Amino acid sequence: MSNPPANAARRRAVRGPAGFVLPALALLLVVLVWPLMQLLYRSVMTPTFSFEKYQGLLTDGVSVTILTRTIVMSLIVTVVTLLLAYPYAYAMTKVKPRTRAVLMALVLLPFWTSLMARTFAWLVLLQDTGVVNALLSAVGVGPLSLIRNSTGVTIGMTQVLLPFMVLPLYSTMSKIDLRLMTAAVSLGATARVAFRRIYLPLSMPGVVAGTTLVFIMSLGFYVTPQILGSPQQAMISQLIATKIDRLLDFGSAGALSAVLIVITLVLLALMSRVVKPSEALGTTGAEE
Amino acid sequence: MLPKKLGVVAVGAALALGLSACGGGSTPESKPASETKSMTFVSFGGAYQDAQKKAMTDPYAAANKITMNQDGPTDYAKIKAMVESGNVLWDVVDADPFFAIGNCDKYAEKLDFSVIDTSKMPKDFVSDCAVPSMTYSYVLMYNKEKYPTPPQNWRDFFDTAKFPGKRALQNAAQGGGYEAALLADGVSKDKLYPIDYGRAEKKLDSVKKDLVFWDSGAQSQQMMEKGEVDMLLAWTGRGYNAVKNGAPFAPQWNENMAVYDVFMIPKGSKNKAAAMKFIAYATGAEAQAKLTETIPYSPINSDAKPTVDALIQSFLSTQPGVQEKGIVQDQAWWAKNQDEATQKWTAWAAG
Repeated sequence: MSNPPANAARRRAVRGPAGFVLPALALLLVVLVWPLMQLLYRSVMTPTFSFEKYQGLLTDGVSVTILTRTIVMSLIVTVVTLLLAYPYAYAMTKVKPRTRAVLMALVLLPFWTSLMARTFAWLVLLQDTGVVNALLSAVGVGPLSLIRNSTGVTIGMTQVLLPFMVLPLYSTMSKIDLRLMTAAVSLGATARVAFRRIYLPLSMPGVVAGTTLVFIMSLGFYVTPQILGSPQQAMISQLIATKIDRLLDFGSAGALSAVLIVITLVLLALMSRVVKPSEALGTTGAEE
Repeated sequence: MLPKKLGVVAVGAALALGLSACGGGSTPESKPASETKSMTFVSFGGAYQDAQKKAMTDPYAAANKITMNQDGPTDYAKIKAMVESGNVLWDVVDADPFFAIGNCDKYAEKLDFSVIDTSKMPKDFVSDCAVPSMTYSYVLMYNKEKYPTPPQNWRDFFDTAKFPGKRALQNAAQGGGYEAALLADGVSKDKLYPIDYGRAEKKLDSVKKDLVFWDSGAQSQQMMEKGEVDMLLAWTGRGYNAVKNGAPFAPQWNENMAVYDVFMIPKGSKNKAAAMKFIAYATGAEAQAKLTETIPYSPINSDAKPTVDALIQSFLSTQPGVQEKGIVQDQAWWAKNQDEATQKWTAWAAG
């Protein structure tokens, strides 16, 4: 039976949000999209149309190295984050709501302080004479070099990015019907087989969403490798910054940014074939 | 002083200022100094800009009934975007010499030396678009406890057998690393330029596994205070801060490299005439002495006689006997070769 008032309300609900996002979209257009277009424009107008700046990236002896390193570093961080987040998110689905709230708060902690403050905190903790090395020395390991190398950068980035892995994983896992596992075991599967054949495949949308998000965000990191790494860990954002503020070479910076944007868009397109973007962000996650 | 790299570079903001980039070129007429009621002073922020405010902009504002706005940090990409868009919001900028010299009449105004008196400044430090704002040195700082026999020069800095331990350089082409490596490799002081990149990088490679890098002055200070390195190339001002805070470090003045900041006026400043007057004041004996009394950078005006304590005095690059031991970094060469050198250094350091 049709219900006219409800339909009208639904129509309003559809039109309403569109209006609500307009200010945000307008802001993005002015402060993000427009400058970005300028940067891309400068990368091909040098001053006449050419791909000179892009060719320059191949021959400048550093862009390719740093781009490759950025991708490798992002992969490492993504894998480490996934290994930490998967059991964590699983545990979140198994505990009582109050414990879950605590676990959720812990994972969201990074959002409560500025990235700079947190990164400097890591610097203090991890330096040669820091707390971590004092503890390691006390048990006979170390002191180890934990900063100004990949270890420091991985630790710093992993902590910042953990929420972006945990949230989509939890969102997916909380919707998995655990009775399926019980059923599998009752049909003779071992716990390991049941996990591999049932749980893992069902949790894959979360894994894909989480890894893609974390990987893409890793690509753009600036502060963490700058503070916890050395020039040998320099990532692409640092190179873009050097090109802008030391070399005033907006064209090459634009070309590098374009490369980064293309990588990101390709990854997002691939992800969207596996999992809906809304699921990736956990917006349809079942909250009790 | 090199731009602070920590903190996200506001690329978007810089470019947003350049939105009407295509229309740049037509410079609005600058008004006479007497008509300027307010102008904007830009520097590198932190304790340095605070000291400049106290020694230079506040007294000048009070004496001339003018508002001196503070902005910063100095950002060359922003200056470029402002000049290209014809919307120059900065009037006097404390900058690295390479930028002002290398972009003279492009991004920097020619200075009026009938207003600015350069007779008391070191001659090497003066050029058409830039006058020095203070001077300091890149100096070898070493841990006194670790090395009872101090390293004598950059040759010792690169000698990991005689002086084992971690050392640090600034991660910037112009941060003194190239010059230090060449001096260590036996190049004489007057043959440093043009920089022989290959030779310098070979020398740098020889200590790479014992080498860490700092990006900001604060980082270098922390390395001394936390004992993270045993010797390093540091700015004298940061060396002073670390020692004052208890770091067991001392400067080795042999082969120190004298460097300086400059005052420049972005091309197209609407308050050009007033900016010249301010620079004349800020480079005067009184303002220069007061600056050194507030922060341990040395005055560039030979008439300036700051009253400072013994520790500060021991870190001033203008103290007797220090200049003869060192070199002056060749800013004219650096202005011409900044881009190539930066590309070489970035590739070397990242590799």
